[in-house]
Amino acid sequence: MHLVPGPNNIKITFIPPSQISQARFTTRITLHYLPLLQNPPLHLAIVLARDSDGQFEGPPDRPNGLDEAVKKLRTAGYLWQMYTAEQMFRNFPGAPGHGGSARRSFRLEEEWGLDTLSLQESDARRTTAKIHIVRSELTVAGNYDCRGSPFDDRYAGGGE
Amino acid sequence: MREEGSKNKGKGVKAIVRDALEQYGGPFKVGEGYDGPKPTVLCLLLDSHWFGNA
Repeated sequence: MHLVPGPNNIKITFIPPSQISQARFTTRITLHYLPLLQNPPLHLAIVLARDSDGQFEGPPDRPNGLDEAVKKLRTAGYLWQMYTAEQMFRNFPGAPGHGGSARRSFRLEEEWGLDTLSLQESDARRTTAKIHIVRSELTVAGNYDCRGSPFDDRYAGGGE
Repeated sequence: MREEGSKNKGKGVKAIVRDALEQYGGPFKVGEGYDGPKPTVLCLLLDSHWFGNA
């Protein structure tokens, strides 16, 4: 469900199997969404080599272009955000202010644009995570040859 | 290409990415005298064969 800043009137309807009941059960809640814009955001970026063809490794029958990478990273960003909130709540039990934590998480940098989170709609525009496309000045071969630092050695043997 | 690689050998992926972000500018470029929180960026390296057996 996509929330907008301010009050959001949400209607939840349960339609039971017909052999159980013919009635529908409906409840309504109002959620007030207040974006905490004063907190610094987490930026998302895709870094490409200078001569990159903008493709990532994937199954041959699935799209693997830059547009697809943007969609996947945007979805992953929101999943990480939700996961962090849930883990904060689970690992710090108790009331906020008494040693516990609410569902706290980081804020993603967002912008108004084409939203790609849902397959149930197309050409939907709303506030959604911004993905920066950053071109490195190095080529793929140049970057590849930069291995040798302790950070990179973890990937030696690579590909997994 | 080889020369470029030799020049940057051992530089590390973090440094490469940091350079790329600074060159990109935007929210990643911090001005002189700024002492607030540094921008936090989560990067996806699209060319995954940077780390593989290309």
